[in-house]
Amino acid sequence: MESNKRKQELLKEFLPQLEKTSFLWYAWVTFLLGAIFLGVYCLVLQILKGHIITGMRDNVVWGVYIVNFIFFMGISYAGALVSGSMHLFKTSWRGPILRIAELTTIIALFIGPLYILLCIGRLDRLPFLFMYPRIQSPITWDVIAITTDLFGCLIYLYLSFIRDFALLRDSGDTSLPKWRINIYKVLALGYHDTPTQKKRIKNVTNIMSAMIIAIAIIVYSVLAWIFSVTLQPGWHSTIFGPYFVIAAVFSGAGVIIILMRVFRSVYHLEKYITKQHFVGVGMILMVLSMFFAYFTFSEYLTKWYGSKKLDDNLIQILFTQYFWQFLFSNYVGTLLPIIIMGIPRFRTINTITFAAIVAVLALWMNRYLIVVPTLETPYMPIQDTRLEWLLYKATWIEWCLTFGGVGTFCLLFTLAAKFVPIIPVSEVADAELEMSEALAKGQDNHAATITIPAKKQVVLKKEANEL
Amino acid sequence: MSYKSILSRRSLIIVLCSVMASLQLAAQNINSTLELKELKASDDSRIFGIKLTGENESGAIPVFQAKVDFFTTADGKSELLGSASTDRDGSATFKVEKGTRLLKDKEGISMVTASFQGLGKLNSAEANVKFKEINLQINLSEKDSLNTIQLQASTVGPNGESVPLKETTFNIYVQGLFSKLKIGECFVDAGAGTFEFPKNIPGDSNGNLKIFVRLEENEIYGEVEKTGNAKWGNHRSGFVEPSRSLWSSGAPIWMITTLIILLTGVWSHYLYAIVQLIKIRKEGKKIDQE
Repeated sequence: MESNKRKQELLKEFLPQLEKTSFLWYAWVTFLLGAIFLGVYCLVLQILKGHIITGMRDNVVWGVYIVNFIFFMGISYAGALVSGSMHLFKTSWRGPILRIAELTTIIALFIGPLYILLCIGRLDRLPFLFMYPRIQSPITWDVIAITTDLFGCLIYLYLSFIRDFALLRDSGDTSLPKWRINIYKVLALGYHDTPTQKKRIKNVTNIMSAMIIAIAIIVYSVLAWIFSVTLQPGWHSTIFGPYFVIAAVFSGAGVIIILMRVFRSVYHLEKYITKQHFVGVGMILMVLSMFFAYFTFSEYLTKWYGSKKLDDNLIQILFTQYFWQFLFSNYVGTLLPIIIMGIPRFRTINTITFAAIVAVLALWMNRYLIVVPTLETPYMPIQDTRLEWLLYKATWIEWCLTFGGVGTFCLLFTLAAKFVPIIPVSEVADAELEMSEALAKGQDNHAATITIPAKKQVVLKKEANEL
Repeated sequence: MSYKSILSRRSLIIVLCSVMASLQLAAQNINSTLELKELKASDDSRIFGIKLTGENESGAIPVFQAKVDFFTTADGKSELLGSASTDRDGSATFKVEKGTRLLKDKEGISMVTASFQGLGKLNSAEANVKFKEINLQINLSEKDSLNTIQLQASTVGPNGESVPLKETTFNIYVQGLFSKLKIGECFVDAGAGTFEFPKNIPGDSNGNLKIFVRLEENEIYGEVEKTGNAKWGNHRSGFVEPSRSLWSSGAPIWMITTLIILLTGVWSHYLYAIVQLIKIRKEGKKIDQE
């Protein structure tokens, strides 16, 4: 009963975010729609004129589109891994950031594969992939993996939303239109928070959170194998699977921090998304940046030491033609989160956000450096060595479609935050209850046996107050 | 005489010398060189190839779009056969079809002359080739599991009669991917010769080979070529069927098994989740009805 009361209180606090729409919100949505329409215009141009208007040619057949695909899939898997792990291991401060991670997962998962469609020259042949699948082809593995992941993430997301849908259905005196209440009613699936329903939801969510962690690792490894099963210099690597997974979670953690910062400011969630949350996800970012740096060093060291002709060519290009990008991607992008999180006095919300922005941009650049320079140093030399065929430079069409994708991501996030509270009300209320129960238990233990040290109790009290 | 006037006189002399040298160079004609080669092709036509170059300080430069005339010449008589225009490399070919009458001297030797009349400052140039008529026939046959090339060659006697060719060596080639590969020689005497074709020559995907029999740089007969096709290629040697490939008809069993196990594991959990959701819905309906 205490829990239900608290949930209603929290819902009332967050309802204005769903009910009221400001002029700035409309301006923001209009701006995003503008970016999307520009992308659509470029897409029409590309369909009408063909891929000749992009920078891709016979030699460099993959460009910014594939980079965006890997990037969006990466942040999607990261969202799944972060939310799944937090839920599974019952991280005490998970509540306020779970929904951001879950929405990141599903929205990025919808946008990522769209870039594959942009990359395909003959879209009319796309159905052949499903009509005549070849199990031995890594592309087929990827199609199966992404489809499986999409279904899993949708179920997981839905499970985490049901309780809030039920709360919104039963919210009573709100100014929400009737059609929205009806949608919540349908989506709530008749959930009434009975002990049986509660137990079912808890069990299934636990299972699905474990599943999506495993699926995210497998799926992103499959994506890495598309590259590493080829003999191309720079791609043919046994550590590409774990390297991609680490890079994905690294970039995704960065995106989650940025979104936390944005929603904290826009919806005034300072009470819920505290510095503790930023430091928590920032620590994840720091650990991942260390792993990423380790994998990157290991990858390039072995290639450099092996001195195979084509690997040497690639490393030469990375350290000359792409020197600044390489420096930014693999040095600045990894060292900055370590420095900011490693030195306590640097750990502020703004510096952590700055580190996250730099890390996300660096990780995008890292994917670019994996895709493009490798294709510019082909295993088989091409006959015609015209520079525009040999080297790749993205055209404005590709950049507009890239920003169109980012715009779609932001728009879907904005709309989702208008449909459900960005803070999972039920999850936060339950976490508060768990915390107060733990605290009460701690006090009982203290009274009875004096086993909990005073310092620990102060920490528990502080955590409860912050929540 | 002042220092300045000496300087100005010297400058004038230098300028005058430069101008005169330039005029001399401008007036100078450019020597041109014409090379001529001849080949009696497999269809008994004769192909004459020329290369026309002009020589300046930097060396030989090909002459482009120059008209070169071809004449048949014998005993002081000359008849125009035709003409050809050079390409960017300064090269041109001129084909004399089988049956075209070529002038011959008393010994039965024909001479073809290529003549460039000159163009602007380019000097004229001329080149000729001499050759005696030769008839070459080849027969590709399989006898006693041996692949053999039988050659029959004759020339023309003083009275136009056929005379068997004596002591002449022909080269045998097969067509490779980019050029011809010499595989042996065949000695012809009394108008006949036999060559045993080796069995270790790879052909195309069907084992086909293009075979060339050539008489090369012969002082009397010039260049002669005959070609033939035979399925004598040992195309299977060296080609190993890959045990697995992307274009294989089916995926390996282990891969299919792994995929089925993984997908069954994952999708069964999804199914379980959906079943639980349905149960939640049923319970909710019951509560709503109550």
